[in-house]
Amino acid sequence: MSKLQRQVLVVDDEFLIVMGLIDQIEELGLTVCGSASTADESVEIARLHRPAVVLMDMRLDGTKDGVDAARAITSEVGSKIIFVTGSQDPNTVARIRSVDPCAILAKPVSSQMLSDAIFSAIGRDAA
Amino acid sequence: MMKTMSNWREWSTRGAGKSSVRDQRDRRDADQVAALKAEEAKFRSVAESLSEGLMIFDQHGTVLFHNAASARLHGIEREADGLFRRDRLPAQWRGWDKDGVLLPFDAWPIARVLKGERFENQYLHAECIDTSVTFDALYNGSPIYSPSGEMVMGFITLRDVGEDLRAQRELAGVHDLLRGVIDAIPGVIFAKDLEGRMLLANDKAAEIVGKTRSDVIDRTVAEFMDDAEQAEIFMENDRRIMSTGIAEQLEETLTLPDGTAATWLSIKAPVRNADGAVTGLVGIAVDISAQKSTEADLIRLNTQLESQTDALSAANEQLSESLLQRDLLLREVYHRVKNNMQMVDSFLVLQTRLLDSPEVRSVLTSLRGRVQALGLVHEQLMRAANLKTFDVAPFLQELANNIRDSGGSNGVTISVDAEPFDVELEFAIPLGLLVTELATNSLKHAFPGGIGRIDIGLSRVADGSSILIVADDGVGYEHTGPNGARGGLGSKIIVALVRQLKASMEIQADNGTRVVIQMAPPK
Repeated sequence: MSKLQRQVLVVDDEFLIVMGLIDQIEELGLTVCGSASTADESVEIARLHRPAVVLMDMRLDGTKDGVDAARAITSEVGSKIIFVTGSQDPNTVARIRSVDPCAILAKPVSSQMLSDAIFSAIGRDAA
Repeated sequence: MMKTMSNWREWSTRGAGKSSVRDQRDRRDADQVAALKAEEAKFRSVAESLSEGLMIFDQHGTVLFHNAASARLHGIEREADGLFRRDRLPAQWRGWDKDGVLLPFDAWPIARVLKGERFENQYLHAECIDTSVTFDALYNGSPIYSPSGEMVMGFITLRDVGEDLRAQRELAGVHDLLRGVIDAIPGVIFAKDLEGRMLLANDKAAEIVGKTRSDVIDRTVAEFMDDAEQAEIFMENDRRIMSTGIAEQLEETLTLPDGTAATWLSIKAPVRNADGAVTGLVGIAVDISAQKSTEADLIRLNTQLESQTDALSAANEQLSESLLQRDLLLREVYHRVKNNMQMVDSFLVLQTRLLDSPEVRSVLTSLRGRVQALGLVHEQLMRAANLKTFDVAPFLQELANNIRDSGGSNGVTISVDAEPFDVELEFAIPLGLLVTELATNSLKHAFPGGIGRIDIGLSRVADGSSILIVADDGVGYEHTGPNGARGGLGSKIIVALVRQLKASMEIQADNGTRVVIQMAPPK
């Protein structure tokens, strides 16, 4: 398995949210390799770009959700997964924990929390 | 009445001529006399040991001999050898026959013998007027004739039947009592033989089938009951009990003469003879129709109750289903609210990036902080089991962490000391926004050197009101507005929230700035 790129994949079915997150990631000096609104799409982009970090929403377009996508990406690519989700109900949280993410961030997520989570996943050293 | 009185003395004194027997004996030789005496002695010992009374009298009615039983019965004092003192004989007697009719003089046993009658078992109730001796006896009597056909003597025997009579009367008394009890009992009593024929039945037993007692005695239920089907069931039950020999308690149905169906609780038991063989059965039965109808009512009520309980459970199920639905919907709403906040945040992020002015960027950053505070309230609600209330203490802690993280100055510590109590959305949103505004203000303005601390305290007072304190150890505010050097949106928000919370606010300069907000109890 080849080395992961110091890049971030953003997965969310709301385009505006994707835009906001991309903006904040770029503010941190990181590169966004792409964005996806469905689980299958996200797995495809992850295979292609091998990002070190994936920001994953729980609810996605299509029949599969963020956990399905995270499971596939973790096993096939090995990216670190950070969930950014609006759902905090116990069932959803338990399901998310089953794929062993690096962090679970609640929407609306602050810049500080986002940067802490990303850098703790990939390390602070410059690209 | 007195005409039937019998006078024994008259009879006994009339016999003056008994010496004729002795004259005859005198004429015989000594051997004959000795032989006769031996015969007499034998006769006497037999007569004396008889349990029956024996009286011998001559042809005139003069009593020659009472044996021991007779003397005892008549209350006669005897001297030796069956002799008695004639002068002390009880004289005045009255007698009654078996029908209680006073006996006429010539119907007395001795008188009948003297008339030449032989008889057996004449009943007499005798009462002695002189001595009050009474007895009941059965008499046999017969005259004795000489070879020439002349009556020379007569005798009567009498058997005391007083005991028998008493026993009979007692038996009759017991029988009457039994009959009375059987008929008085408010239930049915009967006895049947092996073939099922009624040997005994009380009035009630006949009455319930619309018959009289004589209609049912010696007949089977199959013969006297109108409903052949019910009768066959009775017979079947009876046959089973008599063949198994085991008593049973049964519920039997019987249609009464008026057409109503009655339920009877019958207890039937086999009757055995001395050898233990079953010879029939006895039974008692009581009408339990009323109890059965109560029982039926109870069962009906119970069924009703059960169906109501079922309906209630169904309603409960529906309710919990609805609650589940409500929970799902609420979660969905909170989820969307948070998603929308993330979108608002995205607008702010995107807009901020396009602006060069640090001042304007800072305004947008504080707007993001306010959105964060609102999002945090919804997050707490979503985590709460009831989706309605949550503990205020961890909420404030998390809010403080967010404020510190967004502030960007690592030299300022924010500590929270909050009493844990449950709050609702209506209280938590203005409270969270207040804390956000006050703490953000301190972060922005109180620490030009970037070092200091902010203390957030929340405590509850007995009446339900609560006190929020946000204090910093910074440089203090300038006199341009409450806690905000530039007045502006922050101050307006604080004033509006204080009003919304029905709170009072006091700003103290106490080694920094100390804002004390006293809030009315949440509704």
